[in-house]
This record gives sequence, C-alpha cells and structure tokens, in this order.
Amino acid sequence: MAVKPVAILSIDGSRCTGCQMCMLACAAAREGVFNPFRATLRVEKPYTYAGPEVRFSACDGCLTCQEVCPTEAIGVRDGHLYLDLDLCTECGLCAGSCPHGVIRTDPMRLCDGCAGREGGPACVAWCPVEALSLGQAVEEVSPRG
Amino acid sequence: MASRGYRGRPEGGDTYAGKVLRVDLGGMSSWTEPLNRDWARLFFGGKGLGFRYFHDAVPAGTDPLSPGNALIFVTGPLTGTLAPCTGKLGVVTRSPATGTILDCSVGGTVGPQLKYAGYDLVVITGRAPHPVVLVIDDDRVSFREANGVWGRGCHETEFLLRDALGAEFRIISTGPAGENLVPMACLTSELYRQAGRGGVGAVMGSKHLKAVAVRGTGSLAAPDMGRFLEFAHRAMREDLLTDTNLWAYTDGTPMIVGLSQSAGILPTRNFQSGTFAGAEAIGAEAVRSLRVAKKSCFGCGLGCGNFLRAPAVGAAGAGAGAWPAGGSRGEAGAAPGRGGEAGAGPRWPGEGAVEGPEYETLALTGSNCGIGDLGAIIEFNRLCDDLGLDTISTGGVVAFAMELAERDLADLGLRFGDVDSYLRAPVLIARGEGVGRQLGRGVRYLAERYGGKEFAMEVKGLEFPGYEPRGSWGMGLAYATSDRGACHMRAWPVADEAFGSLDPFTGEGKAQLVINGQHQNSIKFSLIFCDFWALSPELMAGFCSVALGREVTADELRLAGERIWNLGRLLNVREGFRREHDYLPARVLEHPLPDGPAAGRVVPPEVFRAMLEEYYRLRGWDEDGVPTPAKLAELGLEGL
Repeated sequence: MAVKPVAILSIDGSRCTGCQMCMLACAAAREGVFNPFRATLRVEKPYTYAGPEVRFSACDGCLTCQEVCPTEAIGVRDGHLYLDLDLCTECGLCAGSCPHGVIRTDPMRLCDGCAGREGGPACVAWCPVEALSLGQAVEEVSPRG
Repeated sequence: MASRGYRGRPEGGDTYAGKVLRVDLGGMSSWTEPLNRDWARLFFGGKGLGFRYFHDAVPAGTDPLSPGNALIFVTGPLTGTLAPCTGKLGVVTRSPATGTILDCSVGGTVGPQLKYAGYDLVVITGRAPHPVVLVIDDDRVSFREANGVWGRGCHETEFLLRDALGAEFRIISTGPAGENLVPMACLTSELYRQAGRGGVGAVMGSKHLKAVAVRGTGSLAAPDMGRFLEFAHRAMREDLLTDTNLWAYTDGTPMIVGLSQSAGILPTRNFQSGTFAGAEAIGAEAVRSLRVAKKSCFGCGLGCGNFLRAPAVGAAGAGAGAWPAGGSRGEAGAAPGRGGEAGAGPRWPGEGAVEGPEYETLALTGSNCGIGDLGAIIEFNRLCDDLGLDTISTGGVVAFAMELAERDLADLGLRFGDVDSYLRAPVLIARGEGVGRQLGRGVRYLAERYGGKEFAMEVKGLEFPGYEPRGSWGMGLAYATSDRGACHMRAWPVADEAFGSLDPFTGEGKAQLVINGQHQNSIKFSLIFCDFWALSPELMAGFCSVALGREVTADELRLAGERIWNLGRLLNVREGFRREHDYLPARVLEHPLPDGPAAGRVVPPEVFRAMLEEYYRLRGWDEDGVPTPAKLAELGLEGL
C-alpha cells in the first residue's frame, strides 16, 4: 500500500441523503454560481428497482489528467491537484480522459480539494450529515511492482 | 455531462430565473415571456405568485376539468440556491374536488431543474388533442407522444421516460387516477413525492398531459455570492440543523402518531375515536424498525424521507388486486401483492423500498380505517403513490365507506380492519371500476348519495387530514377556513394546543392563532421553504435580502402573507364561497369523543361560531367572509 500524492474526497454512503448540497457548494464556492452541473464531484441518490442508492463520483487521485495534459498545466502541489490556467489551452483532453467524469470544461476546472480555502473544502463544509471527508488516498501496490 | 446552459454568471442581479414559460396544449405551442417583476415583488413566488398568475389567466366560473383551467408549476425565488429546504415545486390550479383555488407543493428535484432550465413558472392551459409528455430541456421545449406511458403507473412512467430521455431528466406525472379524472388524483415525482391534495392529478389528466420532464443545466446567482453563502451557511448550521427541526431526520412525521395518540386526537375508525389500540404498531418505532435508507429533497439539510422495506402483508395475505388498466407490466390481472413470495426481488419500480408512510398516511389509511398492519399501510401507500392518488382523501373515503357499512347505510365492500378489501380500493378508485367509481368522488358525494352527512369528515369537499378537532379546537377553525378545504398545512394550531401548552378546549385566542399560522405559511410556501423548517419571518427576510438585492424586512413578509391569503379568499369568493362553506361536520360539533384525553369533548357550536366571527373581524372581512374594500386597498389588492 502506498499513499497517493493528492488528497481526495471520500463518502460515507450510509450517511448520505442525496441532497446534493455538496455539488451546489462546489460550484458556488469556486465559480460563483448555483449550478450542480458545474461541480467537480457528483453525488446522487437515485431510486433504483431495489431502492435509493448512493452514487458518488469524485477525483480519486489517479492523475490520468496529469498524464494526458499536453502542456503540463496539471500538477500536484502541497498535496493538492492544481490546474495552471496560464498554461492550459482548454483542449479538454483531461476532461475526456477522467475516468470519473468530474473535470469540467468551459471554463476548465478540476477538484483541487479547495486548496487554501478557509474552512476546508466547500462540499465538506456544506454537507449536513457529515458524509463527506477529505483525506489521503491509499493506493494498492501493483502486483507487477 | 457538460453544461449547455449559461456560461458564467447569469444576468439579472437576483435569484429569479426571470422567465415564464407559457404552454398552450390545444395548439401544442409554447412561448416565453419575462417574469412580471411587479407581481414578484408583491407575491414572491410559489403559492402567492401562482395565485396571481392564475387570477390573470383563468376567468371566474371556469370548470376545473375544462381546457380553460390553468395548471401552474411555480418555483420560489430561492429555489435552486443554497438556501436549504427551498427545493420544492408549487402547483396552482382550480380544484375539481372543491371548486376552490388549490395550491400544493412537491419535493424532489423537479423544481430546481425548472429553475436551472430558466423558468420561474410554467403556465399550462388547453387540452392536447392526444396524450402528451411536455419535455423542457433548457430552452428547448417539445411535446412527445405519451403512447408508451399513458395508462401506466407513475413509478413505471418515470423509469420509462428517463430511459427514453436521459437519466438527468426529472419527471412529474399523473397516474391512472388522474387520467380517469378522479377528483382525489395527485401528481407524483421521484416515485414518492406528491403534490397531493385537491385533485391536481385530474386537472393534468384532463389536459391529456401525462408528465412533464425537465432538465436544466443553467446557472443562478445571488447579487453578492459571498454574502449569500455566509448567511445561508450560518442559517443552516445555527438554525436548521438544531433540535427544533432534526426530528424530521430522526424519525420524520411518523413520530406524530405517538403525539396524537397521547393527546387523544389520532383519527380512528372515521373519526369515531381519538385513540387507536394499534397505535404502537403504526408508530415511529415500528416505522424505524423497517427503515433501510434516508433521502432528502434537493438542497435540503434535513432529509425527512424514510425508505422502508415492507414486510409481507399480514395474515389476510396479499392482493392489491390487479394492476392498473392497461397493465403496468402489460398483464392486467397479475396481482402485485407481496404475500408468500419471500425472497423474491422487486417486480415493480418502487417496490424494492417504499418511501413513507408519512404521518397523514399512517393516520388516515391506518387508524382511521381500523388498520394496524404496517405492512398493509405501506402497500396501500405504494399503490396510491404509483396510481396517483392522494392518500389522505383516499384513506378518508375508504374509512367513510367502512362506517357506511357498519351503520347499514350502504355496503361498498369495505369493513373496518379488513386488509383484503382495503388494499383493493386504490386500484378500483384509480380505474373507476365497480365501487371505485363512487369512492373516487369523495366523502361528500357518498354522503349525499347514501346518507351519513353528520359523519362525512370534509370541508368544502376535501377530506380531513389527521388531527381530530374535538381535542384541539383551533384545528377546527383551521380546517373550516383553509383555502382549499380541510387542510393541516395552512395553519397548524395543534402544535400549540394538543401538542403544546395552550388549552386545546377553548376558543379564546384561537382566531388570531389560526390567522398567524395562515400568514406565516402563505409567505413560507410562496418563498418555498419546506414546512419542516420552523424558521422565523426574520430569517426568511434575511434570505430574501441576500438573494434579491434589496433589503426585505420581516414586516414586509408578514404583510405579503396576509396579501396572499386574501388573494386566495378573493379567488374563492368569486366562485361563490361564503361563510356557509366555512363549516365543520356535525360529528365534530355535536358528537362527544368517546375516549382518551379529550373524552366527552365536542367543538361546541357556539364556540365555533364565535371563533369564526372573531376570525372574520380580525381579518377585516365582512360577516359573510368577504374581504372588505378597505382591507383589499390596504394590501394592494384593489381592483382584483
């Protein structure tokens, strides 16, 4: 086991009520708008045949975005992912390659764990049931070494 | 998915979307117009703004089920923002059950989606030449043939439409009951959220409108986002998420079963008694023991929704009878009951776990029908929500029919406590088959046809909700004067009386108590705050100030509450409603409760008369219950 280089969000699905305030808070704090589609995480509790089911998509620190970025606009600093808008050409490759679909384009934005935000990540601060938390990702060591 | 709506911050300087969508189903056309800002300033949104648009769109005397009636979906100024508990959607129309003005509200996500799509209101008139689904996809509005979903339950309709349109769409639909114009038909959204009362589902059915599907990807913004967020976050942490409101999360409304039982006001056997021997079996603990999940509406910090995994229906066995006409699964006659098939997975959308029952359902379809089998109540709840039936009125009419049989006045096949016949009733009512055709027309109709007017528990044709007025006299005045008939959501004096410290057995001070509640809820349901957040007018005003770019005071909101209530009264007065329609049934006025803490009590007729007269006087209405010109001028309603 190894610790991933970036802090990531995790959810306690047993607590989540699916209110989506986290998504609203994300877009409000970072872009100044109320719009859940602009969030860099997705939490839903839709009804399935079996009942309501929590679905959670957020950055898990896989760094695929960093690998595919042609201009080295994406990197890791002080344990947080960052996007350097001066280098970014808005090509969208990162968003297209994100396995969780949580990088937004137009304008470009990814989850940087609200680095530097007073009070920590907005989504965590707004969660009314303390279902969300930000912590270090743990990565299983590949069997191939 | 990528945002296709507005890029960046929207224009406007407040949290309204700024547009109204008009839909003429007769011409299958739609257009938009700017929000009427003068009206928004006086009526804010939700109930009040819906009333104002209704007054403008529909002339007096319009048959509720005719194309001329309007079906208005209306959001609030805070809907879609981070103001907690503001995500409900208001629905305004003229009621086919009562002939009164009618407003309901429904939770879930459809309200905020409408706002993100760019609309504060949708005003729907006309009747489509054939059944349609209205699809609102941001600024693209279209009509889709409803062939595949007409005749199907609301639950399956949602699954089918989301499969066809996309998972981000949120649906509000009418069920088979509404298609068949049953006056107790409701609207369902996200399976278990209902715009319940007064037959709003029948209005939608009469328009050949099966469902509205909405996807909104645009943005809203407050004039100063930093100020808004700081205010809203503090209000959530310091006011919302406190003991005053968190009962909604802990147990939700089922906890009222215990309160009502203790106070002797739990409707039992068609309000023949105020205590129920089986109360514990349908109370909060019993509900909690079956709970598998909690769920919130969009943007709500409370999360009142209880999802239960229902046990098999008791000894009487299953048998909700056949599925709705046309066969929700194409197999009419297949019994969707639960009995004897342990281990089988859910066969119907919505069956895996049932949200609810809420208190009103536990009371009206439980104790009031003499049913103490929680599994049966859950199944009844599921059937009603899927078929699109209001559980309060359905429970009320089933209980009335049970008493008709008990008194040998008529036999509609229903008996107090008999689960089998009880579970067949929703299907028959929704289909309009057999006795269901009569049951669906409500308690007042049955009483006119078979007798029993003295125990017909209704006001203005709307069946009683779950609080026995003989043990909480202010509640009687609240039912009698409610704008849409017997309703617990206009004023809830029971909180201060039977559940609080005020003497429940006096008329003193109750007129003012009811008036205060009606004003508070009028503005609350116009700003669209959920009933379950007991927030002050000052806090509501604070939210308005950070959202609307102008300072709004609590006094302005109190006055708006009074204005909205008076506009509702005007809309009823123009349909002929007067003092004689603000009544209570003889059972409440003349027949003493037999047992419990309120044993021996009635609401004495002279006390009721005195409360009502004081109510009119305090309101500035004449003795026939008509608002005076002076009062209307004071409220800015002159000329309406």
